[in-house]
Amino acid sequence: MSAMKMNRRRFLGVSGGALAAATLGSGLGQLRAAEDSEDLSKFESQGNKVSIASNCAMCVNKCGIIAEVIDGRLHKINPNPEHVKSRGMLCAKGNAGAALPYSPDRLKRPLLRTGKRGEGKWKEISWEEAYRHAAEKLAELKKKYTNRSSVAFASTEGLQEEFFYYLVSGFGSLNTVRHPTLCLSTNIQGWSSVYGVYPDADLRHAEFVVMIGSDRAQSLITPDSVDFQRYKPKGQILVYLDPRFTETAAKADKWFAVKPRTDMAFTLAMTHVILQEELYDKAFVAENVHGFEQFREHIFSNEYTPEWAETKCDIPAEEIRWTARQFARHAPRSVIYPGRRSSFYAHEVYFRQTCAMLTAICGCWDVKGAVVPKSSVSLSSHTPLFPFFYDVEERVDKEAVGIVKKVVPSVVDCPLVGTGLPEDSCAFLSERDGSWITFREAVLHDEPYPVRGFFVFKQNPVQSVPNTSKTLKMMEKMDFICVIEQQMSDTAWYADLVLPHSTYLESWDPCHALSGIWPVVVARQPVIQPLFKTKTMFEISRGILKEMLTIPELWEDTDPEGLEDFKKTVMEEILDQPIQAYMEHQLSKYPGAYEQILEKGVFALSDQPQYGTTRKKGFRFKTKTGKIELFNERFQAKGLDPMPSYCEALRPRKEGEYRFLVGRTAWHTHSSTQNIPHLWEIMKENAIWINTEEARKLGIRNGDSCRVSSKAGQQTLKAYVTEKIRRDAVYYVNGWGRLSPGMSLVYKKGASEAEILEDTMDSISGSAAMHETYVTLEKA
Amino acid sequence: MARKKRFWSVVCIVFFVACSFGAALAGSEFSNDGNGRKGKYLYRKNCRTCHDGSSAAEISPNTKTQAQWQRTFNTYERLECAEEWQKMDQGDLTDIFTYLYDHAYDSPQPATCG
Repeated sequence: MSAMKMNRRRFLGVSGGALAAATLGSGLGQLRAAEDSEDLSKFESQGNKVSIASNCAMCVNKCGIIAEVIDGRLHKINPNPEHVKSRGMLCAKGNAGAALPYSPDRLKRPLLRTGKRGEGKWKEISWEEAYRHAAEKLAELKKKYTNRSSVAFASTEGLQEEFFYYLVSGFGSLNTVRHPTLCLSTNIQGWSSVYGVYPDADLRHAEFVVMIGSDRAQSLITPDSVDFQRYKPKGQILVYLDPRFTETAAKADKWFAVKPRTDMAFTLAMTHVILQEELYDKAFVAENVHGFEQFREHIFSNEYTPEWAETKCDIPAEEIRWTARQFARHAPRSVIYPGRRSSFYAHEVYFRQTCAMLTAICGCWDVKGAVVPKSSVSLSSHTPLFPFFYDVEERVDKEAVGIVKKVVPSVVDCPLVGTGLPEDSCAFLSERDGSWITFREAVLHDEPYPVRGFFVFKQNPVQSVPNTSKTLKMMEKMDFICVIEQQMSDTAWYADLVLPHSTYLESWDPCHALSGIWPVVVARQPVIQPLFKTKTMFEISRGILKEMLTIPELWEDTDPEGLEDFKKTVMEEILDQPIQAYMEHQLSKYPGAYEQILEKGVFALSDQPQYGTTRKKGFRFKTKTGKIELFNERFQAKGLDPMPSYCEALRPRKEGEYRFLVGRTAWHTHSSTQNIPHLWEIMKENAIWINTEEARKLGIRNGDSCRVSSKAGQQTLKAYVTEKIRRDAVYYVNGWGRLSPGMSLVYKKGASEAEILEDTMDSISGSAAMHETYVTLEKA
Repeated sequence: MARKKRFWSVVCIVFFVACSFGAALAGSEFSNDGNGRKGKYLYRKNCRTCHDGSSAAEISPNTKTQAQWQRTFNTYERLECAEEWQKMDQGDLTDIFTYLYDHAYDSPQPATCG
């Protein structure tokens, strides 16, 4: 741990991209104060100051924080130097979280719609009325459709999400839909198809790193974003592929402006070189790999040579050859970085497979500096007994046969037929996650049955699911919509009942094991008292479920014994107890751990990286054969191509179309942080990146207002004319063009990404394919 | 020599019959065509209450591979809690088996995030 310790001044040097931009572009008193803790003391009041350890919730990382509270008011947030995962780092978002509780746009009390949907007419109601209303609506929907799955539940990750699932399970719907098919499900499935798990990369010790489209300097993931910039070993080489010159490109040793959607040609050609020159790890392959001979034959017979790849991806053959040789030379300390969000293309699972297979043949697996399966700290789990209900039908995105044909791209150079991609339904759906694109399509077509209730926790599908007009149409079909949020998101704006959730700085959040190479357990405690009449999901689920128990019709299709079990094990033993009791039980295997969580905000069994579990003799991988699979037996059994074959890229339909790319900045998380004042100061609206030469052709100058159009929709925003993007692509960041006047700082500012994204998908995982939309651009 | 040949023929036949019987038993007794959703409830109510690490070894569906679950169910008489199994309805056991088999260590159930 000591080697990782860093003071805040040193950290701020590390995370310079994010925070430097934050301080340069604004007059942010608080962020400037955060930059220099010594100077800060001059401005502090002499009140009662306390420091409380907790964890950030401004994005998914859950980095360690120390909140400074003076006279009950949150003064500032510091990084936690003892948090082994976040390495004592706190980014611009984490710092700006201090303003979140005090935002004037916060939801303060439950709101019931009184006007038309989207009209913005609400009345405040009490929590008792809100719980009753929600429970009665659930009863109405159950009675009307005699199918509990007629109510859908959408949510995203977070420590309170498990209590949202108490509500889901207490009602009994199978229609849940989460974020992964808008994020990393292709990555999970591509890597898992080879190793049975989705691993991390040890960037702290790797010698040679290939990153493909993962802008880790901006799209922050801890510890990776810190490690590859601050703690990388001397001499580490970073090769980066991206159609844009990003912050990560600026830090790379080599940047290749890869042609969008052709990354797979690059990885296949690297594989070809390594196999042809016999640079692979023969001993590792012999001991651990299934299907090597078929795979080698597949690569050779398809002639995936560097010269072939150059014609596809615009990266010179010699550079591909060099990268392959370097990758093999530094093995096993070589990494093809798995990354996180991967919802780029249709056919994407196969691309991710090639990354995993390249890793396997060089033995860059589960050792220092390689790709490493995640370890975890095992928590004690509760065993709540939710009733078994009879009036429940299977999920719509699983049952709606043929729905995939309705949403996959109609104009592709490689039609689905013949590539082994499923056409009727997604091949592998996670039970909880589902597939957003197919789910919505099934609801729109009432296939195979109507879904008319919608509960949403923390997710904002109006801004996050491609093709907003379809999402709004889906919501129009609903008899009832309830949204649980902190601010009036675009989705909340179209709801019937809005329940205000407490911020992460005001709530107790249960323990969560963050798996990884440095596994830790995190939890949250309030650093300030709730400012308004908000509640946590723990409390909201308790409130609604209690009201549900007073409505007999809601329990007619379960056995009395099951109902009694539910009352005892869920209500009495968990929800009616303080949440601290729940947390203590989670940590009961580790004496003193609960106290440590309260004191330090984090608990770990070790501060050392965890390697080697799967290298032990006789280890069985979670694949069909128990080996690392280069020939995928499950894919074969499903009628899919068992090995990755290159699929030609979708081409523009007409002259003047550009491929639309999505991406992130270091100071925003999806669509959830734009309305926070400090972060809004950094970036007040988004702008579309267009290559200088193309802009000249179109008569567009920097700062001009532009109209961007696709088959899905049209948006207007300013132009950012730059050399930092290929000529065949344009890009703008997510989070603007908001429909909700409740997001006062960003309402109608800039352009929405979801409005113009077409709803294409990868039909193996059900993931949205967010880089498959072509747009035109003109001066507005 | 002929006696020796006959002996080995008999051994082969006995072995073949035993294997066939075992395979038939494994294939016929439990298959994953029950109600996995109900099986989850029954597993949590009947198995997990002890097998949460408190009074018996902690188990979860992914503690075993599909083949291991198949073997466990086909030979449950050997388990310490065999008496509890015998009290259960065959249909309930099939439901529990379906849940465990479909979520086994080597099942195709994809991982998730968060």
